[in-house]
Amino acid sequence: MEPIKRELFYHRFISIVEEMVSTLKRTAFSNKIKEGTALSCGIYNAEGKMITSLSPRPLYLGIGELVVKAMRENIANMLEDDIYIMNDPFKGGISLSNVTLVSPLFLDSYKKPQFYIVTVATHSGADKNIASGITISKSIIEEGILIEPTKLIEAGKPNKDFIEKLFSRSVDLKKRKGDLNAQILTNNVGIKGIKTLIKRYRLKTIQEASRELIKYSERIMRKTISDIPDGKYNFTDYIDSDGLENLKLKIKVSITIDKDEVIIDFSKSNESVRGPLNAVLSVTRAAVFYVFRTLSLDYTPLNYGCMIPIKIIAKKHSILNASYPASVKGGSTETVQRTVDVLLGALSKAIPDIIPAASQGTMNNVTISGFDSTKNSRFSFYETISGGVGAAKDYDAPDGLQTHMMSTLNESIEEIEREYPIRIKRYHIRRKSGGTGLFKGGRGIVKEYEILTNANVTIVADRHKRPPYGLYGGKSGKRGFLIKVIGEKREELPEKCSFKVKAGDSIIVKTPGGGGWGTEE
Amino acid sequence: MYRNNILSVYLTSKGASFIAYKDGEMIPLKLNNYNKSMLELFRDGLSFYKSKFFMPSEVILTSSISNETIINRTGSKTALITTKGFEDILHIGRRGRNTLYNFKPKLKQHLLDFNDIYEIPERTLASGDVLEEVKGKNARVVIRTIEKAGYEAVAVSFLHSLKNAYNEEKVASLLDKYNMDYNISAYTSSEYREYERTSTTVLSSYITPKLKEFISEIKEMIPENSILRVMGARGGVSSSEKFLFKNAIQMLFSGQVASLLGAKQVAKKLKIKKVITFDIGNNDTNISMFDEHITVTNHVRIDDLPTMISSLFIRTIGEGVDSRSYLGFDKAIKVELFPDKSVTEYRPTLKDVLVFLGYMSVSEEEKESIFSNLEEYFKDKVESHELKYYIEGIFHISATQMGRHIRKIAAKRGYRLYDFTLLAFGSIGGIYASTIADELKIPEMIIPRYSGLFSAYGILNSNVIRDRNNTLVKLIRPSNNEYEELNSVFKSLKAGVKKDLLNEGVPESKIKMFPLVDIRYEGQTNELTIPFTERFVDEFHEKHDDLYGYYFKNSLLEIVNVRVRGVGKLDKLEENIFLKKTGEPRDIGKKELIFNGEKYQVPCYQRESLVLNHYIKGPAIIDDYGATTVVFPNFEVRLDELGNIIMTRKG
Repeated sequence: MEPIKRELFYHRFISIVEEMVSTLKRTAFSNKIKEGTALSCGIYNAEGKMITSLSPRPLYLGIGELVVKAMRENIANMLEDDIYIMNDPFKGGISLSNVTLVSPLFLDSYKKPQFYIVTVATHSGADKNIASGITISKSIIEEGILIEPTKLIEAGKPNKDFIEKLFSRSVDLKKRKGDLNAQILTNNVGIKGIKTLIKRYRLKTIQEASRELIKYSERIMRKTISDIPDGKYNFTDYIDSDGLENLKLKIKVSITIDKDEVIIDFSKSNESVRGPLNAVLSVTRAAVFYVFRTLSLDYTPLNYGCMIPIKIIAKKHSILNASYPASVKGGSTETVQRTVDVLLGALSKAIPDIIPAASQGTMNNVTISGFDSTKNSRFSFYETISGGVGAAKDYDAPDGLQTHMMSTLNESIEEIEREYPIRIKRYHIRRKSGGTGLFKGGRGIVKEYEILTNANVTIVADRHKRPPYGLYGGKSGKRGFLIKVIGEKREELPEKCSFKVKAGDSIIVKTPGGGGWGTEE
Repeated sequence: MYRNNILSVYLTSKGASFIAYKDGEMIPLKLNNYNKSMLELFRDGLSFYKSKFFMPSEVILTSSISNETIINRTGSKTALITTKGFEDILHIGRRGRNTLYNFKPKLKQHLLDFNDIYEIPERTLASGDVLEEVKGKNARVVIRTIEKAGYEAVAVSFLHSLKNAYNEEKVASLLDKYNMDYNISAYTSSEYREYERTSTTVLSSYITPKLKEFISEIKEMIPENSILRVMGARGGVSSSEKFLFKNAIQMLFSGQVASLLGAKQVAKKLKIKKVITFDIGNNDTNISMFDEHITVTNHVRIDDLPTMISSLFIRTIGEGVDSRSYLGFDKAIKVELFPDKSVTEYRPTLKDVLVFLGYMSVSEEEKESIFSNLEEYFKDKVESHELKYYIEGIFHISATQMGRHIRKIAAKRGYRLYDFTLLAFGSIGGIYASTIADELKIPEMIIPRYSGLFSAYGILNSNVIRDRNNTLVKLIRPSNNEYEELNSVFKSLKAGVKKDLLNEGVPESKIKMFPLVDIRYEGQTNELTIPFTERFVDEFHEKHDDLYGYYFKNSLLEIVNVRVRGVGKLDKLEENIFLKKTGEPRDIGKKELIFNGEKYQVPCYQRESLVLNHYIKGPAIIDDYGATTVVFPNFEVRLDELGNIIMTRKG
């Protein structure tokens, strides 16, 4: 296919996905989905390989492939107008709050689906006994309801028994149903989009265009890898703890570049742990995908082709390839960031001019829940706080940003104070927290919460013990801090903890700075 | 009020368009910028009309002065006074990353430096209670420091000031004693969310001194007894300096809004309800969609900085003829609708592409240099016989990319594209219309009269609009009709709006009031604006269902704002249109155009020579005042009674 035609089809595919994203944002009920940060939409070919997708978070990269594979293996009898649902992290999901819907696209003369449409959206409040946000869970069972690959809709008819069971423990039924319906609608928009495209340009052309696009990304990725000097590059870093008994969790990578292919071996990393710091394979794969996609050209189409020259080795039951019933919630916020840190650390030895020093490397998850007597209802507040970005050659990095795998928006203080019994006492850039060097690391954030009622607080953060590293003589960024303030008394707490507060107590979260780059002159 | 001798003008640093209205006749003028300032262009325009014995009694102005001041960072030295503990509010922002796959993410820096920000101990709570009052002494010290440091403008933004503006007002009363322009956030933006409101307030203060100077110079140029009306983003004009200078931020995007008003007028005359507007020319590329009523949005970004002002819904998706393209890996054509300014070497612009294809005309000299630039650029990249395919490819891919934006907006609003008509204007809107419509399967396109100076056309028939609002976050039960109680809030707002409009010189008989509520389901963050009538709750459910596909009859509702929109109707200016009704349209020669890699000799017509309802089959090219329409081989056009070009597929 000639390049002009290929490009036209690139835009036509992505336009369908954009239409899906807009539809999901428009029709969803939850603010996080409406805002557009907690969703992903994509189109996959008959083999379940990604043709194109859009996601505001690299965390969702390519999970569709594992999910579609799981559906193909687990759904016996695929029919037209079916929609499948799952959130099982061990079969390709991320964590239980991320629910994936898959629609097969059937065409008259074919027995098997020719395309798959996939949407992922973050749902919270699935189980009224489980607070939203992140807790220090000890197994997946404590993290919510696990949905195995299931027919949500069979030949156009909703699976009522399943839906009833699914919502039986929900907190806010209308919100949950609203979001699920939005996702169904969005899948249908995708199906319609592809069918229209096929009607207009014929199936053969569409199939050829999708093959071409995958091949095109593969060619770019092979070129990208071959530009990295051949060799074996290792790097080790640690996660502070799992919030329980396990300290200093090792994340180690060995990257072997061999011409235009690469092997990424994580097998020397820590075993699974009891606390919620386990990452599942799709999450680890997303980290690899993110790093290499970023190394390649900025217009490389996001599809399966990017992953063809890359082989990942992650041992089963390890912290980077957890299996049932490991707890996984922090794996996709903390461990995945450290995975990026070690990938970049290793690559910095091969291509020092391109790779940045470590960014904050945590999402600083803050969960506050309790009873709001003024509103006479339970509340559950959850947010993440940004931090410093790592510096790089010719690059002084920005302050306070969600980096790498995450991109969430800050909550507005006025909205927080209006919705929850919480008062923000200060919220500013943490002075002198960025790593110094020839190029400066970005600074972290200071946020102080006064809690106006008795409540439970859970913090899941990292980089309190080992700071984000600098590179080539650049100093590391400052470590994160957590302080509880009761009256005049200030007490430093560990980076992962759960505790009770009384009305009027405060907590201060100081997020890490990014590492510096190069020796300061 | 009989209106005559009206001059409307749209000024940008790239050119100016004028329309003079006299005795039912419209006299257009378009000036391209040859390194002249907006004021010089305006002066040139006035002298042109003077030579035609036209002296305006009323000048309606829209300009890109506010936009350009922000984009080029040429505003005044501005300080921000904010709540202690939150001094980095502008720097932290909301922190969305635009580029996900970049190890060196760059963030747009806000206008102010850390040194420009002054904090004051004060605090208002979410309830509106003042926890800590601003101390006069503290405020005076800060203001004096600011004045001494040479600031020309000040923005004041405190937490929860929308709930209670007491502390901001207190600082304002002190600022009144100094010779600095200032804005307080509670009066500048009626939106919750401190970052966006602060950003809006800072931007407004930043552009105020420049806008003042600009308007006073314009005033000096126009006849002494003539009225100057200035267009705002909300779609109305105002002649009150007091209003304009306290609401400088409302002038953002007024040129784009002006052309949208033109589209609305054309649609109304043609009795078309569902319209996509596509506006592409020398300045920028803008799209909008409406279904009878133009949506008002409160979120506008300028140079990637948020402003929360009420504006008619418009999305700027590119830089018009200056959008660029390049050839990437494996001959992939990449179009940058917004060119990456950090790349300084030559990349083909859309203008270059359109000139090469014969769709757009320029001087011989310019044409030669465009051809040689293109040939040089593609020399080692493609075979010489492929050149025309690649250049045509750029055209198609740019159209497809613009079409993506339209499709996205349609999906966001829940519109079915097939039901819509594409109204294309701007100097090259008529070139792109059919290719975009084809990609989106839109059956009918209209290239309106005066499409080359459509902003100037749009504001000729604008009205005076003044809003007042009251933020009142209030929870109501669906069953509990709060109509009576709310009605009393509206009374005082209406009185205020009426006063504002009378001050604008609008006679009472021409004033229309529109009471509105911004309302949402409890727990959601996006509200809908609904006319305030006895059945406003039902209407909210209905509109929610229309827009989002569902509603919750029994959910608690939250009223976020109540507002009154006052419209002062100005007398309509109708044009006497004389069209040829019989005969054959005659071409003025042939031009060489490229379609599908083939060269065609196509007839060239002037719009005035077209005959009512006479079909011209593509390929053809139609020259109009300041605009060009290309009729592609599969399309045909005709002229309707109002002088609009109607374009459809052949057959």
